Amino acid sequence: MAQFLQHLVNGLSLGSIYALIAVGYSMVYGILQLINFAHGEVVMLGAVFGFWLAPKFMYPVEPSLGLFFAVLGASMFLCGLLGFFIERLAYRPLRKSPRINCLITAIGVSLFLQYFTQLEFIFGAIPQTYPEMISQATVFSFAGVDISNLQLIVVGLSFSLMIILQFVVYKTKLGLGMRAVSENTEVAALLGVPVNKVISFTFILGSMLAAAAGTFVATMYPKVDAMMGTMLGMKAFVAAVLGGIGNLPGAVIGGLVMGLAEEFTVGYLSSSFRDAIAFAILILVLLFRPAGILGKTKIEKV
Amino acid sequence: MKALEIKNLGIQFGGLKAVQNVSLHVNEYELVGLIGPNGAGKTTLFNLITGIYKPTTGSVEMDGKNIAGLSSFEITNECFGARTFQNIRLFKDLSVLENVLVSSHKKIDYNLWSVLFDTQHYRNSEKKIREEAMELLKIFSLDSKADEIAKNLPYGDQRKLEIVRAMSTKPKILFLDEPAAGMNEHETLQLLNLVRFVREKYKIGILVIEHDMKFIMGLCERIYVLDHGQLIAEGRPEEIRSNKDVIKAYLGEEETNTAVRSNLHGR
Repeated sequence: MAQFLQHLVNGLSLGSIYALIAVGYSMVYGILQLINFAHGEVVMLGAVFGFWLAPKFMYPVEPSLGLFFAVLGASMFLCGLLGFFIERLAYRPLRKSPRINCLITAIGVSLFLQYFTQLEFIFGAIPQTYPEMISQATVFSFAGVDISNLQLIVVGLSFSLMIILQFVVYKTKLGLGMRAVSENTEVAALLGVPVNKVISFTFILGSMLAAAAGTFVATMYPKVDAMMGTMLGMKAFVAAVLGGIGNLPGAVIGGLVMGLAEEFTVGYLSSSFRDAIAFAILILVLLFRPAGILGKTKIEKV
Repeated sequence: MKALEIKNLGIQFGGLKAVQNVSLHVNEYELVGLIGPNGAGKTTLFNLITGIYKPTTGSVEMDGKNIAGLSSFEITNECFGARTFQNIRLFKDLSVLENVLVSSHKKIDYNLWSVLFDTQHYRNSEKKIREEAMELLKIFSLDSKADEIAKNLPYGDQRKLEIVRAMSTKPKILFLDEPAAGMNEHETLQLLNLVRFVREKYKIGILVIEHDMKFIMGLCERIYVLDHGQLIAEGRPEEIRSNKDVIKAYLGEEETNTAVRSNLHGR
């Protein structure tokens, strides 16, 4: 039982990171019907920025919450900028082209960021250790279940960020603009919604959350490498599909399910299935409920 | 000043001249109709006016401002034109109130910063636009349905909401694209009163596309007739009724036409 609960706790903290990334996929898809394959690379760069900045803020790096938050904030800011430029330079020129062009461009941006980061004078191909800004300690032990300070921080911050996002989307004019644009871009523009601004804003928000996810991953599993975004991005993408792509609460649920599934697979089956489970889930979802958990099945009129 | 002034407007799609050399105007506080057979280019003309298509020739002025080079949202915000659609295009999954709030984008001055850190300012401005929107809904007696999801409204109310949503941008000219499409006689009559009410209340110019002759003849002070992308007639309803070109455009031939002529006379 204790083992089960322990897996549950670990799964939730991993799942909340997937949820943060999945939300970014879902937002962009909701607005542009585009799978932004470069999203995983933004996560990776979120970690890379942290790796660069931590020693700049404090040298030598010592565990401190203040430093952690400073690095988190700076990395979110930089990734927000990055997201803005990705949309501005790569996707906006293709706004009116067929969807397949945008999709291929997204893959191109993803590969570009991966290999650009691997350049020797940028980051390099060799994995590096992420500076330890929070020294892991068990803060809470109950019936054999250990909860670490890291897990508390990650889950707490992830959910706070997602609640803020939910608030922005449902209670502010920008969120209303996002929802209007996602339903009908043309009509939204006719009602005076600055569509381009709203789309930029969506990318900025999504990328900021991705940066937070990157920072959390690197803090929990202290390794940074240029390829780390691929698998994270893929799994979060599966999470978004599982929850119903384009649906924000769905993405959160999908992320949590993915985290739990992965953790339980590792715990009860074998850690070699860690990645296989994600894609097994994807196949099952596509076979039995292609619209996802919260997605609506669209009936096509003939 | 004229609410709308179009000069020699034309657009070409490849070899097809969908609209050519159209000049028309709508005065402030005037109800003008635009009729024509299917495929005459009426909706294309609306798309040109609202910036969805860019014209090949000619110019469009609204409220004295040339719309050339402006995108749709700039036309809405700076030239004060608003439209409805032939097939209803509400935000189906947003509530009635939110549909009206979408246009508040230009009226609101808070940013993300104040949402997170200056909540007082954010709350006040959010409250203000909500009150304004509710007031607008009240004028059109939709306030009791403010929280309903738009797609659950009855058809007539959806049409109405589309007009209210257009009015929420505070336009000086309103474009209605077949507002009576799919309505029964009773609903059409209500719509007629609604359009008149909008004109009286807001003193704006209105340009209506409609196939329902009874509706357009009863509503408009002046009518333009479009056929094959060109204006073929202009005048008051009674002049249009007896215009030979118009009858020909609707019929193809002038004789054997009692049925259509009686249609032009309002059934």
